[in-house]
Amino acid sequence: MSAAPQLDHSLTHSTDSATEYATRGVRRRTRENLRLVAPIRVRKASRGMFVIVLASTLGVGLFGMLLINTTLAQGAFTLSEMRSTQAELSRTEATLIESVAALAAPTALEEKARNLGMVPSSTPAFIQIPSGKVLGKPRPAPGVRVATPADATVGEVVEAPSSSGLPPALGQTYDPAAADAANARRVTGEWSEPTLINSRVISDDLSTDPNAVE
Amino acid sequence: MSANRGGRNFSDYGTARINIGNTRKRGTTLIVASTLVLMIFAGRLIDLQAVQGNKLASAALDQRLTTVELPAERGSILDSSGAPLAITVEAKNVTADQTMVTDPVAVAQALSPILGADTDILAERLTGERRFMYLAKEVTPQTWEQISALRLPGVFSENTSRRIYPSGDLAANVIGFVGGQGSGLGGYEYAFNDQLGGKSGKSTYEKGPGGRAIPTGSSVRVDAQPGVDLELTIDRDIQYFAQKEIALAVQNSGAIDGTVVVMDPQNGQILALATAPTFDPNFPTQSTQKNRSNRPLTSAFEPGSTSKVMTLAAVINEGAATPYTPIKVPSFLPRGDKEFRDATPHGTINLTLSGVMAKSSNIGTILAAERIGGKKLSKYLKKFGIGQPTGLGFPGETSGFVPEYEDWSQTSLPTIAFGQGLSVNTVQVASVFSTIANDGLRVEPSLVKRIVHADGSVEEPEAPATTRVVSRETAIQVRAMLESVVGEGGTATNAKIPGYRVGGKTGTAQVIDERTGGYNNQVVASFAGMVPADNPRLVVAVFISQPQNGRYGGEIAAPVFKKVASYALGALEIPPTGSKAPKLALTFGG
Repeated sequence: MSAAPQLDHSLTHSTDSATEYATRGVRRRTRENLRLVAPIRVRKASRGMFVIVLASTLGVGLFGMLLINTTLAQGAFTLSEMRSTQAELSRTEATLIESVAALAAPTALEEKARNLGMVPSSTPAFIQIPSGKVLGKPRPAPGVRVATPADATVGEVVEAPSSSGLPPALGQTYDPAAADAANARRVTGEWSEPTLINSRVISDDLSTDPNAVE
Repeated sequence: MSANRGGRNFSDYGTARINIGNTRKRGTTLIVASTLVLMIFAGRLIDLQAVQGNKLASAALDQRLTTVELPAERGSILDSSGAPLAITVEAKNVTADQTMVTDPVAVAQALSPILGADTDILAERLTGERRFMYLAKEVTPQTWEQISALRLPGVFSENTSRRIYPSGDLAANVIGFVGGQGSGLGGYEYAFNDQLGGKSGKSTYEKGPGGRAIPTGSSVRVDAQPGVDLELTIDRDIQYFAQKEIALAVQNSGAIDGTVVVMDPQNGQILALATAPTFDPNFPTQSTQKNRSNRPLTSAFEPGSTSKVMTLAAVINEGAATPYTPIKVPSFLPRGDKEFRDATPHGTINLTLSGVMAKSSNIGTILAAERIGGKKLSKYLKKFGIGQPTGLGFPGETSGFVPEYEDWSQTSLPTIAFGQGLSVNTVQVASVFSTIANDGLRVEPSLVKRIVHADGSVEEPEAPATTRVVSRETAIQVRAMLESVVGEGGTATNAKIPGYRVGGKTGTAQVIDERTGGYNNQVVASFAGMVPADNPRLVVAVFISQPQNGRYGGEIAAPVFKKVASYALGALEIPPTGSKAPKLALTFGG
């Protein structure tokens, strides 16, 4: 408020000089009286708010940018890391495929089978289930001794027929001791003849020349 | 410009008028000059932004953009059960930057045991000023890991792939092999190269200084299209067995080569296509061109007596004779300017048509063929597929040769009747026997079971073409006659499989000497047959070229048939039919 009289004064002074200048001109103009107006009120609070909003918008924007860039960069790193993991895994897969293929190759299988004492069958024959009929004329492979049930000792009898002569049904509890007892006759070396129709008994050929060719 | 002349000159500009004038001029000059400069700037700006803009922007992008080729994975070749015969696996090429290697000998000594390469050769490759040098190609990823663990300066790797044939030479003649660039050079690797190879893709992205992709940058990725998987009709186990047996037979008989074809007569699918000697496609350069060929399809020879089955089937189908028709067979038969004889000398004998087949009489076959004449015989041969492509589309396949009837001479009918003067490949012979086995209906042979695309879709090949060659009745009669060949008094008792009914025909064809153009003492011993003869499920054809120990098809080829057919019967679980073979009279009381 103290500024007002000063302002007033300076205004008066300048008006004076202006009037002086004006009277020097060709035309004399009447001029409206100047009057004091109230200064425009600037709300200080709103300016502060504006600055805050502006600054925070900028801040959020910058931070957001930083965040996005960091995330993207992080993503790029993760991507490149996962790519190398993927490459590593597919290398492992390739290696495994290769070794499985090599192990499953017929040459490798034959070698393994032969090492286990197996030989290729020379004559195909089939047993029809359930009649037990033998189709074809089976022969033991030449030069090989085939184990008969007479060779089996206790504990090696894998098959365990139930009392009915049929293998135990699935889920039925199976007592090896009882089965061994039931099979005692077989384990002692006595060989019960299987029912064969239309063909000779397989074990017959064992006693004859194994190299016999029809 | 005048500033260095000192204050004296300042007085020259004392008057305001001169001063003002100069200032104005200077101002104008300045405005003009700066306008000009700005115009140049603006012009350049327009030039850069509007005129050259796109070009420059793309040039800049090009500097950052990297394009990486994404190689397509080559499809596998599988057997009929899906077991791999040829697969592609990842591999590494080991490379070196010679300028980074300080001690080549030490590096070479470190690498030598891992790569299994000579130290001197490695050291040589590590010495010099070259920035890029291959040390080893297509090593396994594990080998590279071992090398990588040594942290040798200047030793790098490069991604690549390797074609492997896990079963070695198994069906190598069919599969073929690939060259250094991974493209097929032989067999089906070559014939199906484009389909197996797929289409390579590419990835284009903006690269930062570290070599990592700029995440916000532009990137285009065209994925590679992997190749198709080729599933063959070949049964790996039967193929393996056939290959082993033919190799053994070739070795034991001292022959130059041999072939075996196992076929399913009902659908024409080839279950085994074996030859010996063959090659290992993992190391194709270690073999000769001859051993890399698929002989059952690429080499043609005179079929000899196995061809008689076509002649006699034609005679029966035309109603000119039955299996019981008596034929008086003289000791020799003059036709044209030649005298024809049988393999073993004999006086005049009385054979039935079945006897002619069982004893493989040339003269009897000629006399039977004359009942229908050459024109009809020629027509039947064509229908049986002789001189025609097999339809397998195999590279380098031969169609064989049979002269056009118009070009036949006086001796053509008698020679062609018993298998001379025409040439065939083993698959064609197997197809002839399959036709008889399949009740006279010829089914075109096939080797490709199906093609499996990368997206899992399955492409079935077109159904094979079928041709009615002879009637069902004729086929049944011919099969009975073929059984008599294997039976008592026939030429191929060695082909007998206990428990099964077997029918087949032996052949012992003379070989034409390339130098003289005439027949020399060498032969092609063969046997082609079917089992079970009353309901054939398998046809096996065996050809052994120029055996030195032994000579006749019945003694060399028939045992191979027996072994291969026995194995295939077991593998395919084909039980015997249980019926008894008919006893056909081979001779008649003359």
